[in-house]
Amino acid sequence: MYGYEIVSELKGSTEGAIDLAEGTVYPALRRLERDGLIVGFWVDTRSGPRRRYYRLTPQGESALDEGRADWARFKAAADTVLGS
Amino acid sequence: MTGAATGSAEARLKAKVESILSRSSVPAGDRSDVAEELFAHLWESYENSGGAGLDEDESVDAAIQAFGSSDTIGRSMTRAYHSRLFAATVGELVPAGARASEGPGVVAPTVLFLLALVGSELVFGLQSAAALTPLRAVVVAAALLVFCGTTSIAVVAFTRAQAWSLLYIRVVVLITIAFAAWALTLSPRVVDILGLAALLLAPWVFGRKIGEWVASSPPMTPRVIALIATACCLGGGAFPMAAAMPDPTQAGPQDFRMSIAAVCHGDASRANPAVIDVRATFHWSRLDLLPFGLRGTDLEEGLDGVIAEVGDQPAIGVDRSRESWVTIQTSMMDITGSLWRATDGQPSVVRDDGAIPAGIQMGATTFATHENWGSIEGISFNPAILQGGHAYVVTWHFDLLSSPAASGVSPVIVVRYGHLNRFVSQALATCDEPTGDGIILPNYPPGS
Repeated sequence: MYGYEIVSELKGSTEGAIDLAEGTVYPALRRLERDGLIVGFWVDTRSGPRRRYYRLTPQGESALDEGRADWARFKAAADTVLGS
Repeated sequence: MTGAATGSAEARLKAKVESILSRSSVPAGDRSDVAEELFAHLWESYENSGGAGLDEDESVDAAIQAFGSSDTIGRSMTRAYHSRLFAATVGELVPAGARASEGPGVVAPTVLFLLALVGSELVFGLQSAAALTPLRAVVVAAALLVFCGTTSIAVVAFTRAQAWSLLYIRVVVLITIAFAAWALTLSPRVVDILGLAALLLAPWVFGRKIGEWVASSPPMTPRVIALIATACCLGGGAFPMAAAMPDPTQAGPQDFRMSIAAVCHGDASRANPAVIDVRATFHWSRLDLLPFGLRGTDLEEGLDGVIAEVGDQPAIGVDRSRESWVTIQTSMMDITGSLWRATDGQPSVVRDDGAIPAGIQMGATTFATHENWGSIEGISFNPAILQGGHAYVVTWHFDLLSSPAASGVSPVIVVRYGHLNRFVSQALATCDEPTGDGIILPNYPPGS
């Protein structure tokens, strides 16, 4: 995925619940790339400027799994507290 | 939409990218990649807005608005590349901006001036600081390093067209000119080269062109303004500030006691005695840590280390009608008409345990006589070899010399101890009142 696509996906899949300023995704992507969790690469387009796509590295996959597990634990705990 | 896009839309989108980068500190190697990526996003957003029915200007506005604040994204981008500390300090001060090569011609000479100023402060300022007392030296060195560090950052920021650096430079130029003018009043024949350079630069530094060059940089935050004020105060006020502050590593008047005793021989009326023996006792409860600073030399000219003097009343200008004796005269030089004269080999200095301290000049410093009246005999102590908790006994032996002018005059013996230009203690005795304790002279150093 590339930056614009990520922002659009976030907006679309959350039905606008996550509507962040689009430019803020790029510092986050740079940080993830700096930490070796994702890797970026350029792809030419048929019209318009080329795009920088990102994919997860193996380290990023592991981090994502950990993050999902953490989130699941947190969500379960929050649900318990809230009684849902 | 792409086909219908004008250069104006592209230019506006690129300007948005540039405004973000100018507020960030992205490494030069990544700058073009980041710019291209951000532009690609804005371009796609712009095209999609156009596809949704907005006209070109509206599409550009929508793309720019949806992208977010340049300040916020620029700062986040800095944090993505650097530590939080760097981003909050240097990163905020020197974001990437316009290049120096695109600026007015005054940029290069101004940078040279600032670098010369930093070099001068580092070399001469730190050298002078090394002659100060320890705490003062540390304070001055820290202040100068903050000033030099801030000035160095300002140099980088100035080459990137940051408004705060121009304000900083303007203040520094004014301070440098003011300092040079003040120095000129002290030494009219010595021109401060940096002051001259600041004077030459001033019309351009305060000019319109340079102001326009930095106009597009981010606005100054209160934190940056505070930094500018602090650095300027530290740079300009380091030495006066240090001079005014107490240094607990240094001995003061409270650490010192002095008393004298005089014995007059040879005249029952006590006028014109043939011989005067003077004994002064100096006691330091503690002494200075590094009395001459790291460099081992006194910063100020004046009293050379510690001096004890003995003479007669008019010679030293003692005003007995007043409680305090403040006049110090050591400029009269003729020894030939002296009324009393120290015997060769005198005076002597002995520590209370009987040891003769090394490094003390023994009886070699006859300073002056005064209007055919008397003499002053001095001893230079080296504070570095004295020991706290000990008393040092100094004795002088003065013989009467013939002088008709001295007939019937009762001598006054004054012993004065000057401590590194910081305080002076003085004790008085006469043949009728042969003992006296030291008192601290007020208004010393002169001008205090």
